[in-house]
Amino acid sequence: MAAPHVSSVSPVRPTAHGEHKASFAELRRLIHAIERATPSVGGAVAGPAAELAAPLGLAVLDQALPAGGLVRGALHEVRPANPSGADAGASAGFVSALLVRLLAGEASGPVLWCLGAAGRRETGRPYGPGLAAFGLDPNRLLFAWARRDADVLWAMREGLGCSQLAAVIGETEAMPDLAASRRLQLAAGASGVTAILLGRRALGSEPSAALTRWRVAAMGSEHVPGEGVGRPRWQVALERCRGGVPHDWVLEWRDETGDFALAAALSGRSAEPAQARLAG
Amino acid sequence: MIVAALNRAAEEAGVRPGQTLSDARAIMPALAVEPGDAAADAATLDSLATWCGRYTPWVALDHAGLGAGLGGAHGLWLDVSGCAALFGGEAALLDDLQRRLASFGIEARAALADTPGAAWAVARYGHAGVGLANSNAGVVPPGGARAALAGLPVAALRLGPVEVEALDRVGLRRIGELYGMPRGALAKRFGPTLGRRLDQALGAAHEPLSPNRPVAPYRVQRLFAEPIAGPEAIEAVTRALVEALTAKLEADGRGARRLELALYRVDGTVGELAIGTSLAVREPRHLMRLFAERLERLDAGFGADAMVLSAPLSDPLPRLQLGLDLEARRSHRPCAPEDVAALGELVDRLSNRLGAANVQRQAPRQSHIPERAVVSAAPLAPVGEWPAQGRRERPLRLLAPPEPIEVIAPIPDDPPVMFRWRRAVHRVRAASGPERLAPEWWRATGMAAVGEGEGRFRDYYRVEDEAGRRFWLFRLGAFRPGSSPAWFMHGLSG
Repeated sequence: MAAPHVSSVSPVRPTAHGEHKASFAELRRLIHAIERATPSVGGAVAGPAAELAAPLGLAVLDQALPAGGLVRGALHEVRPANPSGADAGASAGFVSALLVRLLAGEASGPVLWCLGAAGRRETGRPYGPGLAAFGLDPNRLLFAWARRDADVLWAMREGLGCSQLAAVIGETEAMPDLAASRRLQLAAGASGVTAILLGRRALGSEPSAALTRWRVAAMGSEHVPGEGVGRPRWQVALERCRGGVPHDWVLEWRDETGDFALAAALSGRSAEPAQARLAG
Repeated sequence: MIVAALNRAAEEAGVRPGQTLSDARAIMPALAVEPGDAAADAATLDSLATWCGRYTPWVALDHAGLGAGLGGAHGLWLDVSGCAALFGGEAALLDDLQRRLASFGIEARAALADTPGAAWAVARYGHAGVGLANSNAGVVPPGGARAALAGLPVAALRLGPVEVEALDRVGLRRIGELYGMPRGALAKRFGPTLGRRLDQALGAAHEPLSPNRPVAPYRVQRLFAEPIAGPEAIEAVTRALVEALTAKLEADGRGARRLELALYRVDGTVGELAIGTSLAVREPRHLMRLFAERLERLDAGFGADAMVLSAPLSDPLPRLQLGLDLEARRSHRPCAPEDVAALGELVDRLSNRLGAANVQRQAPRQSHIPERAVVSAAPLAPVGEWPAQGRRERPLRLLAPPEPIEVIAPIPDDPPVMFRWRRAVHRVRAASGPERLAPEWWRATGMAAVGEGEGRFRDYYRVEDEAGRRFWLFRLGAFRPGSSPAWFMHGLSG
């Protein structure tokens, strides 16, 4: 791995506890681990962009992620805490927030956003003016309305084959099976395009090749008298993270600046013990 | 009942179109009769015109119904200028056409001449006694229309019965007899049609044919001596056609936006397939990939003897303007042509599988009705700037159409304290609003926006329930004592 690439990686911040060391050696080891976990067809090495990570901009989040942020050119999964649809808005909000962070960095190009018919019916379509207010530029978004999950996954794979894209978002009902998730992870690794998959009715127990899986629950906004509804807040758990430790936080989205903040109440509490992690 | 059309046996027995059925039966008691079906006749003629696309893209229908046809009065015009060489000459083309029509069980007369009028005349009146098999009689040599028409009856000029009868009364029965007549006198006596038809037949006046289908400016074809069948053969020919067509496009500096592939089966039916592209394309690999997914739907049946690929829509290439923000926002790198092409390919693959309408972007529109403030835009077209919106005043997801909800709200202008949506009850913990959006009365007619027909405004609230879920809902119209206002759920917020 060429050093100039590594130098553009946003540093893993040294924590107060000093557990992490932001050394190039460690990053290289990490990159190596990621690449080994995403073997390309025909024995070729994983794509050139796999070494970059998009910092989420909040120290506690970035420290929990071994690459110091959301690894680009990889698959990340998000699921609502309540698969009945009650957390649909919250999980869609968190995905949009991740996307804002991804686009805030180096990623150039448009975003392909693939949705199935059931999801469009039940949670509505992404709405340009609302996305713009949230911090996303709707002009960078290309939407693909698919019918079934299989079409969404197909469209995602097509998008992940196009290295001109910055990211591919997919919204399915169920999480894909291991083989399908592995294909997404491989395609993302080969092109360097980041994939975020939102499984609206995912149960959390599905095996997956994704690098991270996040669980999102709705959370009441901070009550300011006379203000009405405040900033978006979610209870976010990093359920699975290859090379990292599960964790959860209450996050607030500052749409005026486009970054996360920690809502004090439940911060720092460790989630349930790490589940079995799958090597893709 | 009147005889509309008849076959050769009936004609030889002396039955004529226009006779009453009883007269015809008196002449030929064994006459078999089928009720006429004008719609089916027109549909057959239309599909025959499509099939004639194997000879030329310029195929025009003649439903004027003039002249005494053997079977019926309808016909087809084919402009075969420049096409005959592919078939081994004009006579060979005409022969091929008649042989194939005969194999479908269609008896037809055909003629080839310099003008549509002369071809029409010779086809209908030219070889009445010659017999259909000898089609050479149907080819009028260049410049030979005057001589070929001279001996034909005046009805061969596509004249109505009134004009034919008027000419007959003064003894003008052959077209040749009109050649020497002064034009002014003819027009005065028989109307303007006669002179025009004469000029059109002889080439003195241009008569454009209006093709049955738009004629694609780019077109390539392959004819097969032996019919082909099987997906491999069809794919190989398609590939060859795509390469030939893209070479033509390249010579003109253009790329295809739409391609149509037609497969002419030996049974006279035509299989067709079309693909569209979001940007002009002339990369054979990309176009083949778009075809590849669909080619299996193109069934050759008992075999195909011709395939035609045409590009009815093309654009100049390169075309680099792109609406999608391709550059990183910080570093304003110009987007490279290959990046644009790669995105175009992606959009085309998505469009061809999901449907073109299902791959889109959103564009802002000047409207304060939320569902109208956004329109779908072509995937790669430039779109306008989004108006600066107040923070959090619009939802991330918009439900279309808004869904009716049951609401408990204090009167008159308070936000709800509780509502029921999709059978779940939500208690409101916090709310902002109302934001009043007035109907756009200037486009109220015929628009489907909720409540607009009645000219009622909407009061929007952002609410958060006890579980922390955030919604965007509205009350339609003002509160009126004695009636409960309608409420709607319109969107979800993050």
